[in-house]
Amino acid sequence: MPLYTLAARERLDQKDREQIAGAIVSAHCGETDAPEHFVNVIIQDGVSLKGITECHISGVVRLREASDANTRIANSLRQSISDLLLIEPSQVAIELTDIPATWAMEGGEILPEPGQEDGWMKHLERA
Amino acid sequence: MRINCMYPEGRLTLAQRQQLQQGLQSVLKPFNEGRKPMMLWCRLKAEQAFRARESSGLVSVSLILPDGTSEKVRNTLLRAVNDLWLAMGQDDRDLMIAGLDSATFNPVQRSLLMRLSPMARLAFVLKTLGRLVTSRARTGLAEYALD
Repeated sequence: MPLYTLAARERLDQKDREQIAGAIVSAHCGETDAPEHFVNVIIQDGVSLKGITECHISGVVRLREASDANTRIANSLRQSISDLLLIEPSQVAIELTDIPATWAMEGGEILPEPGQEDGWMKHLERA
Repeated sequence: MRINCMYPEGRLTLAQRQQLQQGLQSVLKPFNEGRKPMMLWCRLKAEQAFRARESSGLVSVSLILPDGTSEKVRNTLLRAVNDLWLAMGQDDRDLMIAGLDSATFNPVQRSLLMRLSPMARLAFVLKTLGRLVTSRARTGLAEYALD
């Protein structure tokens, strides 16, 4: 967690997919300080999206109380993905859904609250 | 309760998927009024999945729970799924488990469908239903591909 699912209207090659995944990781971690290891991305291409949308991103992220992190993530994603796909920012649709950290488990541990990832990362790095 | 499991192609064999489904349905049955929960499988192409910029072998299990499920029950369920995964000889660093309220999960699913053009939406629903039925008859698993 987070889990981002991106659908693009155009066909993408593997290099495009890697760049998009990297841009999503950068946007999420740049705005939240979460470790990159948290960030999962699924990419679909050649998708017939509705209206003027060229790219749709759905993200399920950990709830950050009293924070504007989601707005900042969305703004950052919209800019970086539109730059990569050479489309207008208005053609990137983004929907982020918050869930409490305690609703998910990775590496055998309930996810830590945002900003408290050190112990969880140590657990993941165990031999 | 429903179970959705998403995995990258090649990450789990058919026998492992069947074992995981059987185990999950058995472990979760007592928490579902004694009924086996319905399970859907979503197969990703290997090149579609990334984790921390790299190709990902992560398997994701989502439990769709009644709204207001207590933290205690939710934690018990997450732990039970993780224990089952470990008992299969798998590494729990390759597993993400979420216990989601229906009221949270359903709008996300709806949004993933509604982002499609009307024709594409209809085609996706028909293709997915066809795949679920065919797969269920052939392997016992209701599985579709996200392509």
